[in-house]
Amino acid sequence: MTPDPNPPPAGHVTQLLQGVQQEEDGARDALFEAVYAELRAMAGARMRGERPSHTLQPTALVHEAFVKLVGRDPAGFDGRRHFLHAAARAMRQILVDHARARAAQKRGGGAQRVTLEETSHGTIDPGEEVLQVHEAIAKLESIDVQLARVVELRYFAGLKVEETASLMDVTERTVYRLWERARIWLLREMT
Amino acid sequence: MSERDRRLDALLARALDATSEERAVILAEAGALRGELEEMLGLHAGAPRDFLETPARERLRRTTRDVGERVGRFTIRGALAAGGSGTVYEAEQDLPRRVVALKLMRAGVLSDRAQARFLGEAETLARLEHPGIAHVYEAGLHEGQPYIAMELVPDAATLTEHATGLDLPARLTLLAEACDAVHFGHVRGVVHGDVKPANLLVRDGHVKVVDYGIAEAEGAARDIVAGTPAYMSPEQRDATQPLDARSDVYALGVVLGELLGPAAPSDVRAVVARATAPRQRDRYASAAALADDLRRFMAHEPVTARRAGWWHHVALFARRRTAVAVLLASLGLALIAGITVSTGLAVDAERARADAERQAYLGTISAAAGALRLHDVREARTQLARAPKSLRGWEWRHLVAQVRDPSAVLEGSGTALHGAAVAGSAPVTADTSSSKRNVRVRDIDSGRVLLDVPRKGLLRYCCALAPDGDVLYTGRDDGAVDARRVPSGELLWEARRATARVWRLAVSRDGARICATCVDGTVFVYDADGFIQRQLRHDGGAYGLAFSSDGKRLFTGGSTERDVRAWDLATGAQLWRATGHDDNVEALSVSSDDALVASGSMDGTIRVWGANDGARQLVLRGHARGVKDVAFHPTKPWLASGSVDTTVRVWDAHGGSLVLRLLGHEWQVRSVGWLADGRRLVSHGREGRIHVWDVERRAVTPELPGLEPQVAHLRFRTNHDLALASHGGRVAHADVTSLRVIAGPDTGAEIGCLAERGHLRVARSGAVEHVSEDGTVRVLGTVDAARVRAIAPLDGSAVLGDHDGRVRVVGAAGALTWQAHEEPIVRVASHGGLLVTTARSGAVRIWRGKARVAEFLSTRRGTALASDEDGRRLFVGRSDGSIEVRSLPGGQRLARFTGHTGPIDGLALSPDGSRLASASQDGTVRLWHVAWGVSLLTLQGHSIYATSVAWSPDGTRLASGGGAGLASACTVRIWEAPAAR
Repeated sequence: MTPDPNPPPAGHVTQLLQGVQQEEDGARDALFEAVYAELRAMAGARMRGERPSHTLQPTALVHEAFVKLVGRDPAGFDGRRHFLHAAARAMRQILVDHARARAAQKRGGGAQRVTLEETSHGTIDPGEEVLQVHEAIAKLESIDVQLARVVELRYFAGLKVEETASLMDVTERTVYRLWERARIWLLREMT
Repeated sequence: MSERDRRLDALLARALDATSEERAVILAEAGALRGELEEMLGLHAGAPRDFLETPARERLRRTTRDVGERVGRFTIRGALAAGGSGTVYEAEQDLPRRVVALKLMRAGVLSDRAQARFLGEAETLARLEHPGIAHVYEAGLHEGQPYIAMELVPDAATLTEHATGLDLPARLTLLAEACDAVHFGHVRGVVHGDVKPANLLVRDGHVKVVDYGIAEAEGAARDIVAGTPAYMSPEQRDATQPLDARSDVYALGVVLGELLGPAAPSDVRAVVARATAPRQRDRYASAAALADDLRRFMAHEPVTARRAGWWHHVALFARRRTAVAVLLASLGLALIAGITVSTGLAVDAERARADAERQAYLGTISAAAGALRLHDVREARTQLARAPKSLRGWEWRHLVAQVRDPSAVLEGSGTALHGAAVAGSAPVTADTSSSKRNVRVRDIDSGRVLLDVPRKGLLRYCCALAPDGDVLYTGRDDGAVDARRVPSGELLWEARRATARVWRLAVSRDGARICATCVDGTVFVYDADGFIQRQLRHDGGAYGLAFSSDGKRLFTGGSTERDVRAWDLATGAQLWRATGHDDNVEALSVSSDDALVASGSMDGTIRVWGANDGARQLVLRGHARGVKDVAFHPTKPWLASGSVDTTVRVWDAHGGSLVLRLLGHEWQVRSVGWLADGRRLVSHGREGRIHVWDVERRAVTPELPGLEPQVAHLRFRTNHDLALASHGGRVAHADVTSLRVIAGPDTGAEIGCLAERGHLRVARSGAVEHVSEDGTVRVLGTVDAARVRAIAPLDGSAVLGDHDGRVRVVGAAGALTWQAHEEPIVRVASHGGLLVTTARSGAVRIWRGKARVAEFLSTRRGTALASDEDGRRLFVGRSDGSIEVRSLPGGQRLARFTGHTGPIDGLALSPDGSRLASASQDGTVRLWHVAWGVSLLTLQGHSIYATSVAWSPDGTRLASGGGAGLASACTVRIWEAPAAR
């Protein structure tokens, strides 16, 4: 219930994001995929109880993706939490960039746009939703960092409940509880 | 501000978990924050259930496309409509070139299971060819997004729109048309599931039904029109029963009701009432029955919806003013209730039945094939069982063999299988599960449980068996390893030296040593009495474990380290270490001759290493997900593997080709092991089932290495012996059972082909040679080698076509030459005493001797040719992917089969003449039913193109040759359809 006392150095994540911004969609997507796969693998391994929890290295795939985009091997992530934080933030940033680009395209000119849009509930545009959740996460972090983490992993990283529980080292029940609360806060912030 | 929010959050957390009484207390406690807390609890209660449930990435996935954007083979031209499940665009397809309605489904609409059904039904939908149905061209996935390409119905109004201003009979006629179309689908096994005015379009005065067959897959994403009666039948709304024809009848009834004005006659109302009856059994049994009643009404006949009294019948008769009716009435004769009056439409009931049966058969075949593509074995089996018996052919037997019934399926110790083992010499297996608290040992032959050992509390166990199955070893979470006698359960020893969880146990072939690897990286080797012989260390822990056959070495496969290490058990020294996997090594196995070590990894591959030095030998790729266990066959150079992708595969460890793919497990396969007889393979699935496969009854597509650059010709010499030839006449032989290919020498011939007994070739010198099977070479004649373009056998002679359009026949009887075409000849073939030549432009000419008997032209270059036994029909495969059936000798076109999307390079008619196999540059081999003119099955087995096909003499095997491009080796696939047992 307290804010994260050890946030990773800004350098890592910023470097990563700078790399991402310089590339086109394909590279962004590749990194997202790689990180996503890695998170799922980590979660799966932990669920099987087959990996010792203290030595956790991202796969060669993720390292490769990082190197390709950032230009050099990011300094070893010390601790799972560190990597997790960076990964979740990276995925979130990728998606936010995507949503921003989409919004810009819609406003801007260019080729004839197909104007029909369908939405799942109410009238909220998916891109808008992503951006608003992104902005609201800062608020969540100030209340309880776990709330923000759950949203990052479930909504931005797209992980399932059991995977989230595994990575956050809590029970599934706790994830459900956190998720419920986070959604209430976000509803409040967003509507 | 944050402090305040944190307090609010704490209160919220408690309130969400509280009962209503407790909640009242918490609210009172909240003081100044009470208002906000109430507001938030209100948000919780009223929040849309799916808020943020779709992850961001899926939300952003584009469903809105721009004009000019490419989606697969389609180019978007504009948007037509948007709905709950997706958007429909007008798009232009590349090949064949046409404008279609392309529906892109919204992400997350289809569950995995629904997606599987969707793909399986796509082929069935594509077969619905009816003027009243907007044809579905194809459906599939584009970068994970489901799409359907349908016939575009432009400038069309919906049925209700079009009906305004029309009189009642006109409206009823339209609806009856819609019923006919929907019924057509029913007979072919397709329920529409979303009939509503928006899906019933009218163009040029006729109805076209659109948006077929996807509603069922969509599940929740169905449209409910607010404020007007829903079109969904009760069973659809409540999802109590699967949809059937009567659900469509209900919807048609609702639409019919909407077409009626207030003054609608009671008879029609009765029809509506019957169609929309709440219980399925009270409705019309088919849409055709509904249409019939409408037509009866329009012909002033009694509708079946109404139980008409005698007078009603007479009244109707009178209205039709038939003399008969008047006469009968005057005689006071009662009419027999239910008298059916001919409506003037003669229906041949038998033909309709045969038609329906045929379509039902086709439906089950395509549904089964679709289900298999997604490893849904149960669905495939269900569909195949439904196929009408009298129509079952090669394709049915082929699919059945794919869904092979393992010789036995045993129940394991419970679900969520944790560990399993098979004894080395006896048919005994052991397994432990997380759901039940025991370790169970079973005898495979009898299926009897030999021993059940209760577990200690929640500790998980892994297990291993002594070679004769008389001792069960278990390793526990607390590090203990124990040995119990089977079947008495008597504890022989318990070793508590290790303190970290035991991951894997292995027993040496002679049973003298037992090895345990632990999560902390320690590896203990015990002797049969439980005394530690050796202690090793594999950092990061080793999940792969195997003894060498001679018991002198131990191999471990690293989890974190992803390596394979070999150890000398006498000294404890590490002999070698090999790396290469991209993820945890999960399992190891050593070949019986101690030459090879195979490692299976979570990276989805299996690597084969030299056991002596760790040298890299092979990488076996094919599993879609991680590999959990591997096992070498006791005698053959085969390797079995089990994967998270639920399949078990058997590979040829020497050549690297896939021998068998076994489907049947419903969850990850955790363990595979061979029985000592070498005939049976035992696999354990995490779902708790043990499958015992009899691999003698092989039936699935082994792959053989072929000839570079292309396998142009294939011919079965016997049911087991296959001859292959490249364009250049290089010949090889393959034995289908042992899968060995022996290639002949490269003689540098210009061109060649297979002949009845041996093969033909044109040497660089121009000599036309016949090489018989024993190698004797006979020169038949000479040609200008540089100009020759085509060659084919002709009763012991050879017929050649050249670049100048000349045909030359050389053989024992002498030589014959004539000008057949004015352009280069690309192919020659002889069928039933006739000679067929194909020229570059597509002109096909048929000759008897030098005399031209017939000719037909095709605008696209004809390529492959085949004919039936008595030479009465010629099958011509064209470069646009179609196959023409022509009569010989006349050359009249009898039929045309369409379906392939690339030029046809190979054709072969089955020995019984009922099926035609075609190989195409679209990479697929298709099987056609000749009499029906439809595609039965598409065999995907070649990576880029398929060039040739051939049938075995008994018709149970089909061989296809193909390739992946000039630079890579090409392959031959054997497709089997064993005769029923």
